[in-house]
Amino acid sequence: MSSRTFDRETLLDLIVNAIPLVMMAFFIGVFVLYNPFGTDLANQAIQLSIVVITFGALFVLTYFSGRAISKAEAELEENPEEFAEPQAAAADPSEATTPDYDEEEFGEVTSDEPPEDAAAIAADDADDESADDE
Amino acid sequence: MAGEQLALTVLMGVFLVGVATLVSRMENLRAYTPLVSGDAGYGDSTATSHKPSGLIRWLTTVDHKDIGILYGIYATIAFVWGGLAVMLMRVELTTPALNVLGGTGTYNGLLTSHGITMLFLFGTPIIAAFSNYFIPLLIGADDMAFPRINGIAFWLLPPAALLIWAGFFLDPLTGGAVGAAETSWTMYTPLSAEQANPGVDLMLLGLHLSGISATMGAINFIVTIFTERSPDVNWANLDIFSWTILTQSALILFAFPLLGSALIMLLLDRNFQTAFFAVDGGSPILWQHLFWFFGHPEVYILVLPPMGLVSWILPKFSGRKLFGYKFVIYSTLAIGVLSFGVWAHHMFSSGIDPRIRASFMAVSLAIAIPSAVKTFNWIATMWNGNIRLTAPMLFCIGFVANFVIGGITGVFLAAIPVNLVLHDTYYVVGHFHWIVMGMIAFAGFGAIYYWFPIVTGKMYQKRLAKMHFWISEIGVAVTFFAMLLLGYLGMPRRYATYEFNGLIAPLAQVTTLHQVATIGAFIIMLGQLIWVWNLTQSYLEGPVVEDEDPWNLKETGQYSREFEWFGEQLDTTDEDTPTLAADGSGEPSDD
Repeated sequence: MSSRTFDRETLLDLIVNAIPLVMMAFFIGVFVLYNPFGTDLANQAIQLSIVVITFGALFVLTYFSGRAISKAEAELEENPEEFAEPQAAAADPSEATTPDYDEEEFGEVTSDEPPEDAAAIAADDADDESADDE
Repeated sequence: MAGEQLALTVLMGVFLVGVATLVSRMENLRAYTPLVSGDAGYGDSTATSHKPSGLIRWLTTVDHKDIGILYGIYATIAFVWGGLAVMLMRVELTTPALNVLGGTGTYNGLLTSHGITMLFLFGTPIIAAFSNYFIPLLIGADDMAFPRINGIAFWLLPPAALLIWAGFFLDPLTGGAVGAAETSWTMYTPLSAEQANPGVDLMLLGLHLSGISATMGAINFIVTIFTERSPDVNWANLDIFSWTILTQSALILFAFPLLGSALIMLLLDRNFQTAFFAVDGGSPILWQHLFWFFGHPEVYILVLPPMGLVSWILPKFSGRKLFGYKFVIYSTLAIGVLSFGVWAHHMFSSGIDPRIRASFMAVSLAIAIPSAVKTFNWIATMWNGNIRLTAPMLFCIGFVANFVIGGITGVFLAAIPVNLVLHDTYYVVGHFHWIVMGMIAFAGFGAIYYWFPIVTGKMYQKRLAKMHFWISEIGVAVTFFAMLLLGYLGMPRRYATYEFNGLIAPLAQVTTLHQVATIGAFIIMLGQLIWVWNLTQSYLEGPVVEDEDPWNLKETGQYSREFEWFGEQLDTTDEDTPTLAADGSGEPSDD
């Protein structure tokens, strides 16, 4: 599963996060090998832990986000009709996606301003300069 | 005497009529309130499909679109306040001596208010305006997961603003006993702990409220994006703006509670003689650590969503989809994580251990990579694209250009040797203003123009919008380049005056550059006046948008959910009432 999830394309996408990871790994190596400031175990521990914890957190988040997106992509490929692009839905209103709730009920929940009130806002665009200047 | 009684009676009568009207409208409220708790039940006989009208609607709304509009209006008012504050400061700085504001205290108060207002009362709310209005539309949700919490989160902000600005209002009323806070937005101790002014306490409480508001909003967005997505939206096709809001919300969740804790500790130090940040107690450096552990993620809390807005809008006018959609997502997440490992780069000159400084420099340099990746993605999206220079696109391009300058000046500051030279100079001020004004505000303007037809049902005046862009861009460049140069000359930030010894800095050049920056600030202000005029007049008198695709997005296959929703609004709008969406109303009822 893991090797299929992290296929070549996904790994290529994840390179974007590999670069800061490599940078931090480089600095971890430098800090371990080269210490011009003298020995102080407490401060050296803090020094390393800042980069190591950040490295670990980025690695873990990259792994899980990469896995989640990769799985979601597989879903998209398996069921393309269920994940129609909005413009495809718009091109043919009959194919518009159906919401997973009872529209009648939610019609009351997200109720609306009566059209009479909206009419009070006059549409006076006769002299507007914006009509065709672009 | 009789006349007075008659007047009093009439006045009382008017008051009672007002109360009766209010109560009658409150009655409608029962029908409108979304039934999250289920106590009134669907199909209740009192339910109607109408919102209450007038002011009551706006005071009681839990509709995400209405709350989005409220956030937008709130942020605009804060932007005006913060803008006027800085204009006074810029006028003061046209000459080295203090001869406009009457005292350094006034300048310090304005400085503090400008910073906190622009970051907490303008930056965060203007982003919340877009996210509240559009995230549910973009992910196919019917509303936010917790609509009432959404309402509460907004209504915590007006009292927060009043508390933060309270010192200005109370100063004349109390004879100066309570004045504006003069702590700067960083509230460094021991200065902030030892200033006796109660205005500081009010400001800290206001900040605390705004933090609670932001945290409530963040929880709401996380739950909404995780659980309220339409079945046809998953992680692989979630829009890029929602990704950035999700990341921003996670940052808020980890950062703002820490700010709240630190503020409480500071309040205790100020009022109950604790010693968290006292020189002989916990140490002033502890405040800096706590503050910047919040403060640097705050930078990304403010900048990630604008990056998402640009990633969303820029491809629409480039005629092609965003280059490297997943690169942008992963880099957004990377910025989110790395932003918690860089806080002490604000403290390089505070005397902390050099080993620790080195670590923070390493992570600060690493965070530049995902930021740069986004820039290249935007440029690659435009490359060989069919670019249409509409106002939203101009602001997006301006955003990218300003980010190149603001971002690269930030990379220099991440390097300890450069930082030690430029620390606390106008170079830092110039750097983050390229980001805050050049990026965050520009993305906000672009998004406002882009979605103006959806929110108002009208079209803005395009010529004025382009003037707004060009004047703002010129103003930004003039003002903030001058600040970078002032920093190179050694001009310290936060000073009300600059009558230097010539050995410290060349006074003639510093004065000239300050005057240039002031001229630039006036140019920026002119641009914003045009913006306010344009939006107000266009909302009132602009041409009604009758096309469901006002930006011709279908041509390039980029017609998206929010405009699909807008099209549904137009389809169900009565021909006689063509501006149904003009006030941000929700879905029209079927009947």
